[in-house]
Amino acid sequence: MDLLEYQGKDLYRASGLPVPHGFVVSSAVEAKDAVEKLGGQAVLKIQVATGHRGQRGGIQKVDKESAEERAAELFELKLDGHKSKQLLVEEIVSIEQELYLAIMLDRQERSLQLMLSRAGGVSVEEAAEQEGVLRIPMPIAASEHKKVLRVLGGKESAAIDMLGKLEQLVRSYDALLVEVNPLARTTQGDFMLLDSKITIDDNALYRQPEIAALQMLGTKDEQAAHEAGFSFVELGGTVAVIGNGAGLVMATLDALDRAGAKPANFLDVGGGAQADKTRKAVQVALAQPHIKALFVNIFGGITRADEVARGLAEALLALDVSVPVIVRLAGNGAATGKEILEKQGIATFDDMEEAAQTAAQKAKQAQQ
Amino acid sequence: MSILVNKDTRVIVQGITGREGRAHAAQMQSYGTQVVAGVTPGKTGQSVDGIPVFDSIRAAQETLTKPADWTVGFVPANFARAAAVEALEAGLNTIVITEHVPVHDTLFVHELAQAKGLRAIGPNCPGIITPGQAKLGIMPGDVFTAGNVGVVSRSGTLTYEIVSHLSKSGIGQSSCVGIGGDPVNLTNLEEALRDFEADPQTKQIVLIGEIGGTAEEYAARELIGSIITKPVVAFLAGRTAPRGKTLGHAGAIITGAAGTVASKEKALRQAGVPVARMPKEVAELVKRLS
Repeated sequence: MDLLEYQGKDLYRASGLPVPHGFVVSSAVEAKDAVEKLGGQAVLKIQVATGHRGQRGGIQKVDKESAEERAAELFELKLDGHKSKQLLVEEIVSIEQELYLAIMLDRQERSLQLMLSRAGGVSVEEAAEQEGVLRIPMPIAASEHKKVLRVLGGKESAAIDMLGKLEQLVRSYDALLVEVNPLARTTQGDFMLLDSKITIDDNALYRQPEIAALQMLGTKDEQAAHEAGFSFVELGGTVAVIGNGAGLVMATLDALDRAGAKPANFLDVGGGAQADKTRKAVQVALAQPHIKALFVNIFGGITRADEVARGLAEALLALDVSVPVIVRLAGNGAATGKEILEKQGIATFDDMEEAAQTAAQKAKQAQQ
Repeated sequence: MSILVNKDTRVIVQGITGREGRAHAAQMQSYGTQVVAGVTPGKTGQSVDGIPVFDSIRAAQETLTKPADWTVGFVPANFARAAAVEALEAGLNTIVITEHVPVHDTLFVHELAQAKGLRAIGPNCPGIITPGQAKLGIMPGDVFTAGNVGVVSRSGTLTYEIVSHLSKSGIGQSSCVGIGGDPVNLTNLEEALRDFEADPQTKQIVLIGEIGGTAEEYAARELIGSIITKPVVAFLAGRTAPRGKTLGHAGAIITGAAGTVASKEKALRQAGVPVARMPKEVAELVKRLS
């Protein structure tokens, strides 16, 4: 789960890290008041979970005269399909240098990694090109301290204090990424965390109640699927897909693509799927707009293919499904599953590629 | 020979009195695995399908005439770390089948396993099987046949799909290890490849990868052709996956330019690894190389 900037800064503040004074506002009038409270000069920042806000006009320096008008414009600005519900109004900080700092999960090394660059306020790729990026495993070994301090500059005690608190934040909030870009070094040699991009591990939300309460879910169908306990992502095509096992479903999407069809979704019913779970999966998959065919691909393991077939047969009877249904069953329970479906007049396939090609054909015919 | 587990492997099932633990302990046993004990706190003295249940791994180890060397854990995600810690502290290797384990818990278990010099596999994985000898996990045993192709995979069901084609084509497997679909794997692709390289029975390796992370790229650039001398065939899932969306597996996400099938395929092909376009093609490529 990605936190918005102001939500991340709340975590910084709670961890004792220095952030600019600011207010979160939800109207242009409130924005104007906030600017006045900050002394008549401030920065307005839209709050959407997407990058490059600055380059795309989502961050504006204002004074108290221009605040209301600029704020009204920012509330109308759409970035990657998202409008901002709040603005963060912050004091202007006098900066000596902008830096890049991130702590992230290093999947390959299976540890946390600190990334630092003297180039801040640009993407990490650009920072790497301009100034290079220092990568150090965390916790930082004493022998590496000098390198880190050389990049950060400023007061040594302030740097060490900040790094300690950030590492603590990552561990105590189950963060997978904390990116501070830019991190400002002030003329006094102190640090100020000017931005925040924080990703929290979804699997740890059960023990992060404050963060779980902030949760922003995906589309309505994605929400319904989440509640039913399977994983679902909308992809916008015309062939609805249901399968078991994330890897197999991914391979199914690839097979449809090869056959010239666009999948409408990713849906993994998960291990041990029973008939009722399959029924719900069919509901969710077919609730999407523009569906021309349904492709079900099951390899029976712990999830028995006949259990899925039973759920599918029930769902198709109950839901009055008008699109062609293509089913591929293999593995445990496939033979019984095929009998169940064929009684209902649903043709089944043994071969995944052949089934995908048929699904693609039927979807094309339905479109004409 | 095989990797990590064989007919002499002695297994404790953690969480054996739960629904999943009970069902899979029985299936592992009927496959021929030596399931010597089960552990569920507070359930000592019970038995599940003739398997004695103990309160703790230590209690089981003290009672057994021949102690166990691996555990397989079927515990809820919020207990997975504690279960793995108990196994490692008692000196056993451990498999974490559980899905949805927080990454920081996995990092903790990884550090402990390293410090103890023990092996852990998972989380969010089907486990490991050495066909005809031992199955430590949840895979359907009848799909697998004994032979000399090692399989390492980030995905469960897709492994069954590909292995069923191998088996039907008369290509048996030395061992098949599912390293899991999470961002952090307790046994990672590199370690599994090194295991197969060191195993005299394994003549070829099948690598089943997917979007997310750079483990396949790393293996292609740093290992295959130098440290890994045995021929490798690959399949990669998620060619058509969108960016920034997690597809089922927590580790299956494309972030920025990293983690795409295109980048993995390019690296693998440069290392001379044939990459199958569809699952059933893997068997054909393996045949061609043998």
